[in-house]
Amino acid sequence: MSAENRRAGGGEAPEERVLADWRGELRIRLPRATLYLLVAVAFYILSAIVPGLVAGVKLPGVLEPFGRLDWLLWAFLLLIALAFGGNAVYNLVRALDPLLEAMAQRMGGNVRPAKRVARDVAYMLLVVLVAEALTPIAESLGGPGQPLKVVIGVTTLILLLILVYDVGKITYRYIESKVELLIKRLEKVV
Amino acid sequence: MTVEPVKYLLVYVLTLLLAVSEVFPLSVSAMLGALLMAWFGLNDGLFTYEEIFSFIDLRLIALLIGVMITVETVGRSGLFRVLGLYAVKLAGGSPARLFVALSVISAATSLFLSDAAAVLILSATALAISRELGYDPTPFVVASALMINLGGTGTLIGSVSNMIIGLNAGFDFVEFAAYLLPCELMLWWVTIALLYLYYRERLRASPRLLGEYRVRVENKGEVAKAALILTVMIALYVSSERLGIPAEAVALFTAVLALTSTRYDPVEIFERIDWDTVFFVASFLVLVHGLERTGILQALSQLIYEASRGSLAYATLLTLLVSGVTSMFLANVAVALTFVPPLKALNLPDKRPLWSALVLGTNLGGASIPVTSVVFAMAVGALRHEGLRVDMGELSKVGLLTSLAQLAFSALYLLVYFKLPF
Repeated sequence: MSAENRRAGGGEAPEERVLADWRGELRIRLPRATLYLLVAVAFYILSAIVPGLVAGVKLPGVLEPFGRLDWLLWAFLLLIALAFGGNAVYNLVRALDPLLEAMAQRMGGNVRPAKRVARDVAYMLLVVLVAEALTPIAESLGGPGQPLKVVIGVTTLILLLILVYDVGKITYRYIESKVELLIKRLEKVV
Repeated sequence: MTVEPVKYLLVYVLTLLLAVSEVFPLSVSAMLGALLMAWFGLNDGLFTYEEIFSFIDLRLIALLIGVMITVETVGRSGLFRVLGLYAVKLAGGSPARLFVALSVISAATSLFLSDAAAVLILSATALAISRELGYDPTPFVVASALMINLGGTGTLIGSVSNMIIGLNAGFDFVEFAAYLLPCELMLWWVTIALLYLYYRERLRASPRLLGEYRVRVENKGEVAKAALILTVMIALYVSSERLGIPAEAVALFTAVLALTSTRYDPVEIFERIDWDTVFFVASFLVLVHGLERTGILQALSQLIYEASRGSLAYATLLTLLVSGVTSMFLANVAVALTFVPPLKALNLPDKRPLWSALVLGTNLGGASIPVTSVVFAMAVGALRHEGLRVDMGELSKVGLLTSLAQLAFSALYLLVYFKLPF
């Protein structure tokens, strides 16, 4: 690809495009996820401190434990922390999604949902069995084998999480499309 | 020694999943499974390195390769295309008669050719004839694919799964045919009748006169040679028991005869051999024998025995049903290889009905669903290539209907033929 083409964005390979998309997404999502996470942690800390300041204060006419101001404050602050935490996870997932999608495509993910789920399950089994097969080799190495075992374990876990996420996403999309279809039919009936 | 059977079972499941979800071709999936099985088995002391190679049945591999070389050589002569053209001539232009004739020719061709090669030849013939006579090609192509799947059920060399089961059961060519060929021939007519009833509306075109239609045979010498090789092959198989020649020896002899008596380039013939199936069978044998060592297949055998309450009739029907249904979704070679060890381990005096049920189940379940059946997929491809719209739902309905009818008829046949008491 010529420099002109690269500048114009023409003739870009799909993998490069995916990588560029991912970098763009990461630039937007990562600061947001970090900020939301910090706010969530701050509110969580607040939920542990602030209720103690109003301990023993009761609201008249309200049932226990809802009448206790410290409980109400704790629940309120924790809810806020959870909301921000959820937002942070959402942004993190969105940031990683293009990369995970590209990985799935690379593994031949451009197929029917049932086949893609079957492939993901096959890859999960493959990852687990390869890890199981590699463990005795790492053990036989003696000293350096121990960190190698940890690397195998962590890599297996990460790959499994990615595959579980992909299965979840495919299943969610499939059910969502079916629900949408049902809603459209119900709308027609009504 | 402590062996975790779950690990070995997972290797087996992984192999099937990799093959079904088309991550890798059949052969590569099985090779990966065999590699993991060998590694775990060696580490756990389940078997030795030398034993792994003894798992691969060289007689079976020789039979497979011998038959493949012969049919590839014979198929190149155009013999089966000529037979298809004679079917048109005999039908005299009537779509219904043409439907029956093409169906019979398809099943007969599949007795000798691999299913994939037979579909390629007969789909092309059916499409060309339909185009020429202005008929709807779908019934002809679909019937041809289904009959090709059925064809060869009754002979030892009719399919790879038959060779696996026949060799393990100790059936020679004649014994195999004696148990199963009558059933296959009856199934031809059951299937044709069903398909005709299903497609009768689409076969009601007015007959075209074909008085002037002439079958032109371009390379008569090659066609005659191919017919002669086939005749010698069948004669040798039929008399192999009396002559004391094993089936794989006949296959290799016929292969050499075919290669030496024709002028085809042997390198081209070897390239066209279905190596995917050969490597799949060899690797899957390692997988299945490894699984056998863990005791899982013996447990499956015990399960079949207990489920059938020691009754041969129940065990036969169970084998037919389970192998038939699993073959709808999995490669029938894998199903045959998996079922062989448990059936061998079954503590029953007469296992002929069980082996026959396994042959019928693995063959008949093979063309039920277009997405999992090779012959169906190829027929769909041929129709689409012709620019025709293919209704997969309708094809699944036709496939399932015929498969279930064939399995039901086979159950009756086995009960009556072997006089099985409940």
